[in-house]
Amino acid sequence: MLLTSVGMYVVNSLLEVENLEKSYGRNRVINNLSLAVNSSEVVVIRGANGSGKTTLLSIISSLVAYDSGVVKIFGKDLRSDPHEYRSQLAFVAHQPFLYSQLTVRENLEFYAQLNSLDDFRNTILEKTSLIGLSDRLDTKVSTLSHGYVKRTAIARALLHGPQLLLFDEPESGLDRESLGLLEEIIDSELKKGTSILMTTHSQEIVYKGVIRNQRISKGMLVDEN
Amino acid sequence: MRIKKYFYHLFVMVRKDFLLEVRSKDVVLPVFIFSFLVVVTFNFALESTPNTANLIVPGILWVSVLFGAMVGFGRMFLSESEQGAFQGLLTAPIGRDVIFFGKVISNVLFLLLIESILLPILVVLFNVTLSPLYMLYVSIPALFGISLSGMLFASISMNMRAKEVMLPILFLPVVVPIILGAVESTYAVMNGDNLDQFLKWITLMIVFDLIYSVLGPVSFTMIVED
Repeated sequence: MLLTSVGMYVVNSLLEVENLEKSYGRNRVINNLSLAVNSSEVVVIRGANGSGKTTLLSIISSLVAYDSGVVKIFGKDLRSDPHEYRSQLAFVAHQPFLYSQLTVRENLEFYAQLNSLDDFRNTILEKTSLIGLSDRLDTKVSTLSHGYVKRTAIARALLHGPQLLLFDEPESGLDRESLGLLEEIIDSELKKGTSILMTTHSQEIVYKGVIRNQRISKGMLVDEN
Repeated sequence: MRIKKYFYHLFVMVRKDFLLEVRSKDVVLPVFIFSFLVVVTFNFALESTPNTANLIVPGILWVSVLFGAMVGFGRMFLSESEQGAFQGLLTAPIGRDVIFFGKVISNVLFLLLIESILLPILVVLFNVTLSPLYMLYVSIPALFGISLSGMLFASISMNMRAKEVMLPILFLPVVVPIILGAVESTYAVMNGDNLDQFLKWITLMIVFDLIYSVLGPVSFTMIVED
């Protein structure tokens, strides 16, 4: 909550996206898009293939540069304070962002060190136990099944305790057991005040709790509620 | 504190590259084999005599290292391109320059290892003498120059359709001052030239390295974010 100059309290959004624009050549993929995500909120963005879902998450996660607009997390601007901005979020994309030749433990230790975590060995044990990966810690990622690779990607994302979790179509390639586990993780992260922004093109989503639906079409958001 | 963190992240990046190299053997082995074959080919192609050996060995050494390095540049990003690991680095709270310099340092260390095996082979094949200490003075600025410019052009050509062609076209003209400096300073070491001559070429390479230490990370940041 912030106290404004006129003495009113206003809810301060965790993620603020204002008038975002992105084009690839002449093709405008994000068109004057504005979005706010509050703490402990799940926002689901639905849309057909090519509607701009993945581009939006790629911009928010700082993977793709945008043409104009503002992207902030807790007031930290992506362009002016990129390190602080990136330390507040994690992205679980289609690709797991892992090194297939390294073990689960080596991958997690590497990302924990990049995030400057002090007690990373204990954090890794805690997160992998939460996600059912404890018995696979010393297994090479290249030998894991798709479901376990996805679990490792989620463990990587949770390591540094991000304020915002981005999921790009998290249901893809997960069996019923893994989906249930993911829902438990989302629940537990929400209780800690973490916000979730996820995209999907299917009617079913992994989280059955309270969500805010948004539809994206031709790079523009349309409210569904 | 910030500088300490910066070097810690650099160390983490380089250690990861070494761990990946131990597992995958993607870079050092193919680059060494290629460089070794270049040396052997020159050995057969050029008729070396005790009088000419000192003239041709510096050129053979640095051409073989340069061509080997070109094979290695693309392979340095191989493990990064699998499973989107490179994107994972881009979402981490570290500067793009840490990623760039991490790759450059790993590449310098890999090339230094390869060169340290190639040198005794050259000494035996061409019957010349080389001072390991002076060669280290030559190799460090030379390998940094090759790696700084090479990593920059490898990242530019990474997403090009004809990257195998584009990398040499972009890289070879730019790296001429480094090759000139490395060959001439190696020649000065082998022939016992005066120190001024040696330092002149070392200075040229250091200036090149300083320019690319600024140009490299700035251009790399623009390339990976576009």
